Parts: sequence; structure tokens; C-alpha cells
Amino acid sequence: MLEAVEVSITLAGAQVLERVSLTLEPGEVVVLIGPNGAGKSTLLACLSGALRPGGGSVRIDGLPVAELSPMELGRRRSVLEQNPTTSAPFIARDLIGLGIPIEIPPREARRMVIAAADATGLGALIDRPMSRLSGGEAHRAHMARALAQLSAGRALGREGWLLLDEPTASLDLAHQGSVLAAARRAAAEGAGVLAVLHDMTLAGALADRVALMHSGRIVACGPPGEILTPAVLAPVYNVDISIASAPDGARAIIPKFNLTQQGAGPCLSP
Amino acid sequence: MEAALAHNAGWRLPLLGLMALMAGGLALAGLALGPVEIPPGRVIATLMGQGTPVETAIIWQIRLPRILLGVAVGTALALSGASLQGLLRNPLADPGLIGVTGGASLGAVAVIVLGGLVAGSLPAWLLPWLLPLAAFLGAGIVITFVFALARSAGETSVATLILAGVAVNAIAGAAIGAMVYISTDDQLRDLTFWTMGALGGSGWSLVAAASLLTFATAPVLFRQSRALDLFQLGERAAFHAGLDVEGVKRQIAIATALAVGAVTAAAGPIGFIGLVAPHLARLALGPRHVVLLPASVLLGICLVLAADLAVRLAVPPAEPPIGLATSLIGGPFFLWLLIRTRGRTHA
Repeated sequence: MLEAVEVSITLAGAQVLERVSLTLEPGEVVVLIGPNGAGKSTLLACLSGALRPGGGSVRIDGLPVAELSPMELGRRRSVLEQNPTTSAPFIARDLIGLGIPIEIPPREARRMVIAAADATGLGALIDRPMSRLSGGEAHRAHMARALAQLSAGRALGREGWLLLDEPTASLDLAHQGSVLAAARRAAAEGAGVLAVLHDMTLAGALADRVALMHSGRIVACGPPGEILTPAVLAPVYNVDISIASAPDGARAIIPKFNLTQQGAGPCLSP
Repeated sequence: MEAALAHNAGWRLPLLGLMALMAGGLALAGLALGPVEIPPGRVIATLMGQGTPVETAIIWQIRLPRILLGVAVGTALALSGASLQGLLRNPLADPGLIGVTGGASLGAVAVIVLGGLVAGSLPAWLLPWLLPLAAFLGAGIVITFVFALARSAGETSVATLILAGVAVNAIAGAAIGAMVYISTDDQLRDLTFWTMGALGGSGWSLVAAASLLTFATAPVLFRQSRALDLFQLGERAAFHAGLDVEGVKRQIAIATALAVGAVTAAAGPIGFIGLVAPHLARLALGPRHVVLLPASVLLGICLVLAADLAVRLAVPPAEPPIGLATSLIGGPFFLWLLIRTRGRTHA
């Protein structure tokens, strides 16, 4: 279990999280949604151990995150950062393998790298330097790095938690699908997955549970069908929302923007 | 940095071997060439203990300590440079630029000028270590200071680090000037030679101390190759991948201060090796530190030995300081790097 209990944190004088509690079970996918500045990335950073909360506690597999070494944390959870970058033009294959601990034998490590690359649709690009990949391809390579680290941790006998901060940003539709499918597959293999998403239609397609954050608190948490409704979302986002259902049961969450209201005139006035 | 010559792993070992051969050849040339030329065959015979008394004196007392110090200087500066560049994710980092060499120089100069005051009360075995120790202290204080200054909100700013280095270099320069001002005539002559950097003129004891410290710290830095790869993702992501970021930084800072302090004490401030060698290594062999670190060391040794050979053979019997030669190559190289980096960010 990965759990945050009554977590509060103050950054630069502003209270970013206020007594937030969230529990993640093995095999489930929880999606964190909320407006900009709601505290989603901060909560993710507390769960990953990168930030120490001022109040409350974070436990991973029952152990306090603050007491585990970075190395042990790296085996228990892997993270895809919000804007992952690399300053060196590693070959994609090398980058994907960076998070695999040295205890994994090289043969095994190579196998994990290839599996992770295939899972994110990068199989054909694995021998290219990162500097030759497009933005979306590079993002998927970092996702593959997180997946490879996750499977290495599981090979070493750990439970495995996958934390994803906006994993679909900068991806086209097909690759959004392949990344979400990879996350779903990780959950099916027993990992617990927490993903921050902005696209609520994607959130509805991916999540077992959705947690809605607003101003440093979780204001609603439950199955997508209960949270992704106009009544819950509209007051938090300040936007009118309608839901459309496809014949196969997929639901699209559609914001109703009022674009003329904000004084939008012709872009090029004569 | 875009295209390394040898992204293909099969080329890495032959290229490393070539660099090692080059370093060995330059070392042999350094032993053979000079005012008295000794053919390579005789050099090897002399090293085996079968030389004439003159050959033995020239090789064992003059040229061998010089080559050994050159190897130590190349190793320490190139390895520190490669580690700092990896740690800071910036190809412009160099022990000289961020003030570490300046701090080491100040420590060493203080010992040359003021050491006489305390030398009488110290045991004799400690004396050859006094200079490296003071240089290490100077280097260690500077690296702790600039790292602390450049760190805010959990990330290290390279721009601040280099500006801090400029300030530290100015302060160290002024303090060294003050030392020069109060020094006696004899000390002044020592200082002048020392501040320009030279591989000759150091006795066996100082060379041995510097080499020992360098080769003791080198494994500490070599072990960080995976950590330095991870640093390329940024400090947050390196932590996510399971790295003890602060611990690695501390180890690299201490090892760098020790190695740079030791060779600076023995050879004086020699600039730009830590900048040029890792860069050439990266061009040839790509960004992975497991090959980048050894390649940097080999190229650093080659550069130092070649520069030393050049100054010895340029206008014999006079011998311009080696620091002059490395700065002559390194200065323009640094400018070229700056222009290239700028071109890339504005592209």
C-alpha cells in the first residue's frame, strides 16, 4: 500500500497541501485531477519521497518514506517527471536503462529495456540518440525508463508503484493510448499506478478511481462515473461541463467555454 | 556533442587503447627528449637499472618525477573536470573556473610564504605533506562555499557557480598578491616559478605525495559513472531513479578538492586541462561516464605530457612555464565552447 495520511506542506509561505489523505492499492490505477495549482504535483512529490511534508506521514509498503534510503525508494517506486529532460545525448536504449539498479544482471537489464521500449511504441527507435528524437518520442523514452525501473524493482521482490506526472502531455492521440495502455498493463501485473492528468476524458478511460484536488485538498474521490460529472467538476473548474456518451460506453467530458465573454475580438484589427 | 565518433560500442575499446598508447608514447618521449637525448632503448634499460650513472641521474632524478607528476596532473584535472561537468550538467564547469584551483593556490602560497614560521615545530615527515594539505584545505573551503552559494530550492545553478568562481578567483588573487608583497626575495623566486605552473623542479617527496593522493581519489570518482549518468536527467529525476544525490555530490566535492589540491601544490595552477580533456573525450566516445571518465583521464595525461614536451623543446635551454602552454590552447577552446553553446540556445 502507498498512502499519504493527513499530509500538509507549506512551500515559500503558502500552504500547498492541507491535510491530504490518499491510499493506493496494488493493481489499481488512481488518477489525480484538478485545476492548475491545486497541489497535484506536490502531492506526487510527497508520495515519491522527493518532498518532506511538514505534517502528516507518507508510507510505502507500510514503511515511512522519510526513513528509506534513496536506493531503496528507487526499487519500490518509479516516477515519470512532469517535464523529463536529459542534458546528454544518450542513446535511447541507454537512457531507458538508467534507472535499473546494478544488482540486475546485464542480460536481464537488456531484456527489461527492450520490453519497456516496446510497451511505449519505441522499439524501432531504440538505437537513436535522444537528440534525434522528437519531443513526444523523448517523452515516451522517459516513460519507458520509469517502466524499466519498475520492472527491475519487481524483479528484486518489491511491490512496485508507478507515479506519473502528466504522462500524456505532448503526445499525439495514438501514443497517449499506448502510454495509458502501458500504465494499465503495469497495474494488471500488480503495480499500483497514480497518474496526474489534465484531460478528463483520458482520466475516465484510465482510472479505477479519480481523486479531484482543489486548493490543496482532495475534495472528491471515487469511481470515474461518480466524480466526472458536471455537478462535481463545474464548481471546482469554474466552467460549464457536459458529458457525451459513445455507443460503446466511453464517456467524453466536454467543457463549454464562453469565448466571446472575455472580450475576444478579431486577432488582427485593421 | 551531437554525434560522437564511436556511439557504436565496438569502437570504444580500440579508441581507449589508442589513447593509452598515445599517453605511453608521450611518456616515453618525455623521458627520452631534452637537452641530453637518450634513445628509447637506453631509457628502458635505465628504468630496468642498467643505465650509465649519467643516464640514471637524468632519468631517475629529473625526468621520471616530472613525467609522474605530469600523469598525476593530467589524471586529477581531467577526472575532476569530467566529474564536475557531469555533476553540474554543464560542459563549461572546470576546477579552475569555479575557483577550486584558486583556493588550492592560495593554500599553497600561504605555506610557501608563511610555512617557515611553523615548519620548525613540525615533525620532518609531515613537511612534504604540508603543501598538499594546505592546498586541499583551500580547495575544499572553496568548493564547499561555491556549491552552497549556488544551491537554491534543491537545484544547483551553474551560472551562479561560475560567477561565484569569478569572485573567489579575484579574492584568492588579491590574497596571493598580498603574500607576494610580504615575501622575502628567496620566497618570491619560489612563488614566481610556482604560480606559472611547472612539472619540473618538484622533488621526489612532493611528487610522491601528489601522485599518491591523486591515485587514491581516482577510484572514488571512477565509481560514480552511473551516478553521473543519472545526474544528466536533473537532480530530482536522479533521486527518483534511486540515487543518493547529496551523498554523491559530497563525495565528488571532497575527491575533487583532494586531487586538485594535491597536484596544484606540486605543479602550480595549470588551467584548462579539466575543460578540454573531457570535452574531447565526449566528442570521441559519447556521453556515458563509464567510458567518458577513463577517456578523459587518458586524454588529460596526453595533453599535459604534450604541453610539457612542447615547452621543453620550444626554446632550449630556456623552459617557458607549462601553464602558459595549456592556457594558450585552453583559452581559445573555452571561447569556442561559449560561442557554440550560445549558438545552440539561440537556434
